[in-house]
Amino acid sequence: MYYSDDEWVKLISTLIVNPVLPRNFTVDPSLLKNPEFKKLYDYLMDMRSLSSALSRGDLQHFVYGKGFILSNLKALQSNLRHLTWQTKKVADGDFSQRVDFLGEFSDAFNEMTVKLHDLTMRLTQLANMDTLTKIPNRRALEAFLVDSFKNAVGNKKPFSIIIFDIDFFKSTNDTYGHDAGDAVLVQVSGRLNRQFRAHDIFSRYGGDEFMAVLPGTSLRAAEKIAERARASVEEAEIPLNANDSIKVTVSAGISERLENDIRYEDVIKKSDRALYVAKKTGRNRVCCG
Amino acid sequence: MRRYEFNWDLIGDIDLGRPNLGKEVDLELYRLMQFTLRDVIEQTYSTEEADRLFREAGKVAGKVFYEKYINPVSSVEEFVSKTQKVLKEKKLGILRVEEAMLEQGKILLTVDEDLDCSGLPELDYETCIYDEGFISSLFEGFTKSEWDAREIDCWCTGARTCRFQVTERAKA
Repeated sequence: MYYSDDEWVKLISTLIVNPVLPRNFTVDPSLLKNPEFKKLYDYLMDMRSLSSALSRGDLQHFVYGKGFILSNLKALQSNLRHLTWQTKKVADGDFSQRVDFLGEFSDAFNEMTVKLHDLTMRLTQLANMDTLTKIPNRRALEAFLVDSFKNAVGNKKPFSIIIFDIDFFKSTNDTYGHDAGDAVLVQVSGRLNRQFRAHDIFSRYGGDEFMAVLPGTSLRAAEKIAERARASVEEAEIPLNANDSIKVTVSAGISERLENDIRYEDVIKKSDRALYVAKKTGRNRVCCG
Repeated sequence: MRRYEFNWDLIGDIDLGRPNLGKEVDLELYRLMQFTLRDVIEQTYSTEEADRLFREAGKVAGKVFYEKYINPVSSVEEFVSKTQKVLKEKKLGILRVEEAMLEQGKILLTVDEDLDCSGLPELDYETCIYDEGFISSLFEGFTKSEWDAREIDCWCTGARTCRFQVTERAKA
C-alpha cells in the first residue's frame, strides 16, 4: 500500500496527537513489516501507553522502548515510584527521607519531613516528661526499666533502683497549700536529679515518690549516691514565695538485682520494702533492701 | 599462589603516596582505564567473556565495599539509607529505590549520575555490567543469600537513569 506524504503526516499525527485512537484506526500490516516503521510505531504506542498511565497515576505500567521522550517519561515514572517508596518510609516514621528531583515539590516534601521530625520529637518528649517537674514520667521510666534490666541480665551487670519519698509531704500540702506542695516537688526533684549520671534515669514515680534506675551500679555505690542526694535535700531551703521558705527531707529505699530477680518488678519490690523501713525507722535516711 | 587476590592493602596509602595530587582523579581517565581494559579482554576472549569478567569483578568489588563501608547494618531501612549515603559521598552515583520487596526477593532501583555510564553515547545495549555485579554483591552481603542484578534501562540506551532489577536467586 502506498502512503502519500499527507497520509504519512496524518498517520503520525493521529498516533501522537489524538487522545483516543479512532475506532476504525488500522495500520496497513505491510507497513508494519518495515523494521524502521515498526520501530517508530512501537515507540509511539509505548509513548501513548506510558504517558496515559502516568496521567492516570498508574506507576506500575512498564514499557521497554528506548529513546529521548520515552526516557524522560520513564525518568518521571522512576522518580514518582521512588517518591512513593519514600512516602511509605515517612509513614513508617523515617523522617530522614529527602527529595531532590522534583523542583518546588522537593522543597515542600523536605520541609514537611523536617517539620514532622521536629513535631514528633517534641510530642515524644512531652509524652515522656512529667509536666510539673520536667523530669521523665512513669511512661519513660517503664521503657527505660525494660531495656536496662534486659541489658543487665544479658550482660550480667549490676543494676540498682532507688526510690525516694518526701517526708511528711501531705502535711506540707495541708499546711502551705497545693502551690507550695508543687514548689516542693519541683525543688526536691531538681536537687535529687543533679546527683545522677546521663545514663541513669531519675523520674517521677507517682505523687511525691521518685525513682532512680542505675544500670551498671552496685548496691554499695547506689547507697552512696542516695545518701548524697538525701543530704542535698536536707541542707536546702525551699522557697515557697518571696518571703517564706521551708526545709524538707526525703527517705530512700535501695536494692540491687540479684540472681533470683528475674523481673525488674522484683527489684522495685525490694526497694519499696527498704523505703518502708526507712520511713518506719525515723525518716530522712537511706535503707538498703 | 595468587598474586592479585584483592584486599584493601593492595590499594595502598593514597594520602602518603599522593601528598600533592590527592585522592581525586578525572572521571574520564577512570573510564579510559575501564573501557580499554574491556577492549583488550574482548579482543583476547569474546564479548560474552568480557561481560562475564566485568560482572565478576563488580561482584568482588561489591563484596569488599559492603564489608568496608556498609556493614554492620541491622535492618533493610538502615541498609538502604547507608548504601545511598555512601554511594553519594563516594560519588559513585545517586541510588533510589523504586520498589523493595526483600521478603519476596525483588528490588527495583535506579542509579543516577552513574560512575560508569552517565553521559555515554547512545548504544543499543545496556552497558553497566560491572554495576550489575557490584549491586548484586551488596544485597548478598546484607542478606547472605545469592542475588542477581540486571540492568533494564541504561543511560547509553537513551534512559536518563540506570534502572536495575535485583532478584534473589532462590526466589526468582
